Amino acid sequence: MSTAASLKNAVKYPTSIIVRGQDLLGIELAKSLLEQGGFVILIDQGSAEIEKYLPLIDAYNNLILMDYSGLSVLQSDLRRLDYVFYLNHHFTDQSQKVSTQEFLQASNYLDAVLDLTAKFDAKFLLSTSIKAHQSIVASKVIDLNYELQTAEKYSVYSELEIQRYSESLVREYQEKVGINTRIVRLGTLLGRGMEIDLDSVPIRLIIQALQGQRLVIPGDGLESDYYIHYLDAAYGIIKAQFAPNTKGQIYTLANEGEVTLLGFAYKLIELVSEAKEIYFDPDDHSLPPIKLYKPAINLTSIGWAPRISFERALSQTADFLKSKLSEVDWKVDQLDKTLIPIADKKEQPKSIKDKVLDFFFISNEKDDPERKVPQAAPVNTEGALARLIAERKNQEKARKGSIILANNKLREALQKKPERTPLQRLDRWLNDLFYRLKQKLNVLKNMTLTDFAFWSLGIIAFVTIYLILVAPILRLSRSLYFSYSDLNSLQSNLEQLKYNEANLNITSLKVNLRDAQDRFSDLEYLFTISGNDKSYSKLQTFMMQLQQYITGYENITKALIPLQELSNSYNSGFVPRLDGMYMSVELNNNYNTQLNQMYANRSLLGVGIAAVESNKDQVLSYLADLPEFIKSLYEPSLNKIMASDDNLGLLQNTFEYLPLLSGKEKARYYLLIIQDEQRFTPSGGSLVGYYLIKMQSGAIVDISAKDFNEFKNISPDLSDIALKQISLVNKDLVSATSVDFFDLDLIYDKEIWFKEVEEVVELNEGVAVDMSIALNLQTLATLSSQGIVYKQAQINESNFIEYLNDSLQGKDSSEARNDLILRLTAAVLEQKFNQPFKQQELGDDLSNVISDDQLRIFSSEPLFIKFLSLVHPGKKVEDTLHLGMVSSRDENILTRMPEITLAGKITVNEDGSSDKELSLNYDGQDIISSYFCSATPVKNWSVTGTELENYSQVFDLNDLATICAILLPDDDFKYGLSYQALPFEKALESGYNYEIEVDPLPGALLNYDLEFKFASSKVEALSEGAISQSNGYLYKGSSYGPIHFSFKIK
Amino acid sequence: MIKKIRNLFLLFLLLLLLGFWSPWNDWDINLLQLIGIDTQPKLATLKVKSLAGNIDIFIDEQNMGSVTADDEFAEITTISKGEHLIQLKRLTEKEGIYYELSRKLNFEPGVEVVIAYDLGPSEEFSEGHILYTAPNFNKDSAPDLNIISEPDDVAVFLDDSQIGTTPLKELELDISKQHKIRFEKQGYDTLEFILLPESQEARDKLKGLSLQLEVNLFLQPMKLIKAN
Repeated sequence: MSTAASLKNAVKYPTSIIVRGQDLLGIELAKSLLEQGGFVILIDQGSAEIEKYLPLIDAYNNLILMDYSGLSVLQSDLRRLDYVFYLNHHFTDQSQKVSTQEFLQASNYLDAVLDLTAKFDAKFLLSTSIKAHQSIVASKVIDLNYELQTAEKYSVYSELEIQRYSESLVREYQEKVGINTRIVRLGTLLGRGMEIDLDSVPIRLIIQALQGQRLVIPGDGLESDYYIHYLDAAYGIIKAQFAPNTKGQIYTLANEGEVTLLGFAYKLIELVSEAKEIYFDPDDHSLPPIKLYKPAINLTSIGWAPRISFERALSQTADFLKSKLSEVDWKVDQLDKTLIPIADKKEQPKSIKDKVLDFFFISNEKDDPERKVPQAAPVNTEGALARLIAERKNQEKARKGSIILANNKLREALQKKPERTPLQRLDRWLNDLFYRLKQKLNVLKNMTLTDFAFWSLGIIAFVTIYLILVAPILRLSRSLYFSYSDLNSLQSNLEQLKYNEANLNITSLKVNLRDAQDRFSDLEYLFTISGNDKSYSKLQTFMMQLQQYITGYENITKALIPLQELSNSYNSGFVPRLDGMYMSVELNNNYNTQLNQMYANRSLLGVGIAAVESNKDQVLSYLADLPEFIKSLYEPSLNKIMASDDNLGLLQNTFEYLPLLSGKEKARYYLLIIQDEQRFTPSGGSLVGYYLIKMQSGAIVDISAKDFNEFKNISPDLSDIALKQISLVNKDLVSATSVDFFDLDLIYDKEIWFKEVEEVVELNEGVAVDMSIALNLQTLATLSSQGIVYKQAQINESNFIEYLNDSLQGKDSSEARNDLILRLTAAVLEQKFNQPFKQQELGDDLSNVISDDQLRIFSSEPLFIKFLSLVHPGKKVEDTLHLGMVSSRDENILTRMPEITLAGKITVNEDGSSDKELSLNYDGQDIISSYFCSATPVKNWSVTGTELENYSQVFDLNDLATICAILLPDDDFKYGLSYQALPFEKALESGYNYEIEVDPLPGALLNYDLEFKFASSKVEALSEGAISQSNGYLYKGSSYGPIHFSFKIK
Repeated sequence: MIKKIRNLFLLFLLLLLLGFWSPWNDWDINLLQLIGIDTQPKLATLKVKSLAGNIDIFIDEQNMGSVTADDEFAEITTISKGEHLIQLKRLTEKEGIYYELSRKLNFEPGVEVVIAYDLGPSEEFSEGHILYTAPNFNKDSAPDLNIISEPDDVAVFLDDSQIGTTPLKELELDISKQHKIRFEKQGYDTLEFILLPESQEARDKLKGLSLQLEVNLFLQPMKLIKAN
């Protein structure tokens, strides 16, 4: 792999540069970093020097060895840099001169490394020498310029100043550029295999000790130094670099405690058995004067601790030297050259030319670009020691030359803009762009451009899949769930007649359905891929149909909102009174606003209902084809909503007429006729009294009430037809002059009875009644089903009649009973209608009483007739049986409900005639007569089960179709009746319906057990409750109102 | 490791929530349109014709202008996609004299919603039609026509051929030409008008849409004959 490729690959690992690392410490440092999985770039002179250390690190792949010129390569190709170790602690001879050019080159090189560090925002560690710093602090003037023997009087630099400058430059970079730096000052390195400076006093003392010579100490031997084993130094350097909070700090990396030369010598005497006595050389002043030196804070402050003691390190060094000396037969000058330090401390004086060149920072080598590698200076090669010295010097020169060469390259890199191809320029531009991006985005720092491209493509692919598949599915599920929830809420609100809330549900539902449609549209490709185009089409059509269906309900609910507002704010203002007025109205309400809105909304309601009806079947049809999970979402709520769709027609009719019926345009009068069915009569019960209600602008503006006993003395001007009705069921003869008001009770025909009662009330009140409503005790009981309070008594449906009868104990006059019934009616009206009523509850109650025929409604006004025909269409049945009883009018008030039992067989012939064999059983207590009427022409009329004198047959002379049998009480009140009803017109040519109605007096309980036989074998029973038999059906049951039996004869 | 799992879980949760939310679905941004490749219009048009009197047009309760019986269609071309409340009020000195038309209608980009109305004193004594669209998501399919009327059971004639009585659902409509549509019911005035836009280009835009036609017929006043 090429260096450039290796460098690009380095982004995967924490990358470190070790500058000047080709000694045992640098190698140990590199080894530690490599062992921790790092990538290491070792920069030094790149000579064969490294070869002796290669076995130590050769096994590691993530290592690059470079000479100093490699820095320019790093600047262009390096992709990652985390740590920089700049080992500048090499210090041998404090008096050694360096040229100005060398000094500048060294400083330039450090500057370039610091630049590189800044570029990658890496951590930087500079190692210098304690000894050098000690010398600087001691102000030892290495004034080579003013030595007596020095001819030239100009300033020169030394290694000391390079180290001092290095520290200063690093500190400046930290302050100005913000690099994360630290400086470590190393003690003198000891240990097996370390380079040895033969000129240093401690090494000299060791050799003297090993050779059994006296230990010569210059001066008084009180000069001190710091020592450290190189392994501890490597560990300390790593610790200083990696430990937190070391930024900007300067540490001493040495064993704690300084060691004087004298102490060193004594330690040698202890450790080396051959060592002799100590000798002080008073003439040797080569060492600097003793000054107090306070080292920087020791690295132990951050947790580092030396693991090898000074004694052991010294012993290792002595042993190492001993083994090496023994190899050369104790000839110091023949020591292995690799262990020989630079011994030549005297440099040849520079020529004038050199000095001039130095002054202008021009190196000799620069003149010839081809001479990249500095040549070793000519040295005296006589003698082994001289050769070794020359070799070492050459190495040092080579090191310096390499730095010069590197700086030259850097300078060239800065100055020259080599011609690049457009592709290279693009590559360069992309790389630069990426570096800048890296500076801003931490996550990119460990990434190559290729990796970035792959990651980008991967992210784009993920985002694309997320946007076209995942997100639409998630959003679709959300929309489906919300639409399901909205539909449930809609159904619930419709059920509770909360139209405003329902309208809001619909708005939300439509949004969610539309969103679901859009998402299905986004995912259409999935249907296409899986070959389910038809499913997609059905799904979308269902969604569309459902929206249109729901839009219908949107218009309906919007139209009904004024009705909801009216209901919520409605107050009838009824006030029950204790006097003969029974009730009055105290409020002056006006609901014209709501009525006008309702009236204006009629078309909206119509449009809505039309939309619902036209889309309902399609919704159901497409729903059936949907996938099960979507079907299960919508089906339950939709079925419930659609179940009420059949009532929309009734709703439309009611809604259309309600404003008019509520007095929107003119005042309307409603007559509530109260009947007591316990005092049973053909009309449904004795007339108790009435309430006349005046409605205007939707509000009840007046109410008046009267006990019908006040009319008992008047002779109503009855119509002929009313008189005939009375004659049909009355055992006594009646005439226009002999009838009294209570004879109206004997009219069983509902319309005639209402007309006659209305006429009497109208004459009395002086107003035209628009609609009359007959209420009996059971109706009042039903209306009080939610409970009413009357004179502190809790009354409800189950105890209403019981309360009435119990309250009248001892005062069972007609007047007292009527009075109590009227007051209870007032209580029911007040408590039912004064509060903002619950439409659903009231609607249910009214629906029950109307369907049971307990509440009967009549009007002769065209508007009301049309309304009634729409909401409660009556059907005239040809074959009708009227059954009833007339109770005694005496003072003994009855306290039970009338009951009639009808049983028998009805045979329907092919010609449409029917033979009836019936038995009747009346609850005969306190009755004065009973009757049976057929509204269709009959023949073979025969009554059995009673004596002839108890029976009379009456015809209506104006209506020959009606025939009645008036039955007087006998001992068992059981009668037999047989006759043949003549055929009537068939409804359809291809088949017709046979219908018969049994109409008992209102309020009476009819028990029936009827068997129907048909000449035709193809008959279908249309009425509910039929029990199929051979050639017929059986019906058994009870009813409080008229009961119809319908059959389809095919 | 736990931190990584936690971060992955949080990322997963975030993506899940983002997917449920999908706010970009509500952004009205069309990149193709931004760079000029897609030239589909973003706005819809409302065309209103008054068959009698001056009519004020309100969209979402904002007065958007008026149209007189002498004018051709009044066109409002700046209506955004979606449902809008359309109200037509006939101008009179006193409010409430005439029936006020109020409908929430759906608008599709580039497609016209047409309303032609004679607003009488009440809904029964008004006549007209509303034609609007809804997407049926079956691309490139011919539009289907749904008709509802007030009153219902109105005989519908398309190009003089009776096609049924209202309500009518999913009638396939040939968009290669305009059609004459007529509504007849005893006791009501007959209503006839031309269906579909004049240009083929405008008719082609109806592909993939469902046409909704609401018709209101004018109730003929009862004839009173003086008794001898």
